[in-house]
Amino acid sequence: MEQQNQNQEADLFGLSIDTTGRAHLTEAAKWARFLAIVGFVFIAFFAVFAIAGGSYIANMFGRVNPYNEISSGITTGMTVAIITYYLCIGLLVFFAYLFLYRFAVNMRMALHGNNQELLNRSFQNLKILYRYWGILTVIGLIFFALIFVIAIMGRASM
Amino acid sequence: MEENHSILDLQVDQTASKNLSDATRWAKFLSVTGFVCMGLMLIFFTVKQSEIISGLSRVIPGFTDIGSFGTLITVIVIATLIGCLLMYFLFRGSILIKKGIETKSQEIFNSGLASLKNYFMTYGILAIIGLISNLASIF
Repeated sequence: MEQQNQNQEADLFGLSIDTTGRAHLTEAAKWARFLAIVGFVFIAFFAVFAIAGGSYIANMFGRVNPYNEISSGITTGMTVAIITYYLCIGLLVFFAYLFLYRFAVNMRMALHGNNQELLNRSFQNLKILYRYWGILTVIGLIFFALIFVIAIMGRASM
Repeated sequence: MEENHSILDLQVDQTASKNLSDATRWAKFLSVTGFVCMGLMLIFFTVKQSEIISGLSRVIPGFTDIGSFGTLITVIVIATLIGCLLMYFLFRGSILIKKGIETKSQEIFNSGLASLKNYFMTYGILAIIGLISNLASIF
């Protein structure tokens, strides 16, 4: 009779975040939040080094050719391009950590306040995070495959 | 068996199930890609070991001895094992959560959540180790 009641309860409610699940998700959210904060700090340092590094390169080339306007113009352009490239990479990684942070914070608040909406929002951010990394991975794989094919074709033609 | 269900528990409703199913699909893809990349990296190092040694010996003086190469191999193997462990937790978590949702099994779902927790925890511990080693090298 008790087993039947338990089965009925499970059918009525489907899956739930019970005591065990709650403990796992609390721990997961704690570590995810830590990782996200470390990631934000790392990206901040990365951005600072990207800008400082680009300025340093500009300075070095400026000293070598201080009177050649065309070459200093090209150098400045290259430096801006390099800085922009690294800042774009930083921005891409930033969004990934933002989704991770939002998953962690929403999960924490959901479990604390027993809020179904926040729980759903947390899982939504987790979904977006993995989808985001998945799409970037696919783009990266295509890029490397293209380089590989071009390298093989280059060797074959030689 | 201890009853963990309560009428006040948060539910994995349709929205949450859909989000989790989508998340687990992508997580499975990422973990499989991770495994493949790790395997390819090991194969690459095995096949090209002589070229890597000669390249590194030009950059790092005194690298030609067996001890340095052994250290490099050890570092690569440890890094690969840690990477595989992370991917294993992610893969297991994604499989179990998806299976739990499909079969409405609370136990399997909770096992999936445990794997997800282990994934984040392992990543966190590695981040701490990385931070400490970087700070130690600075100071």
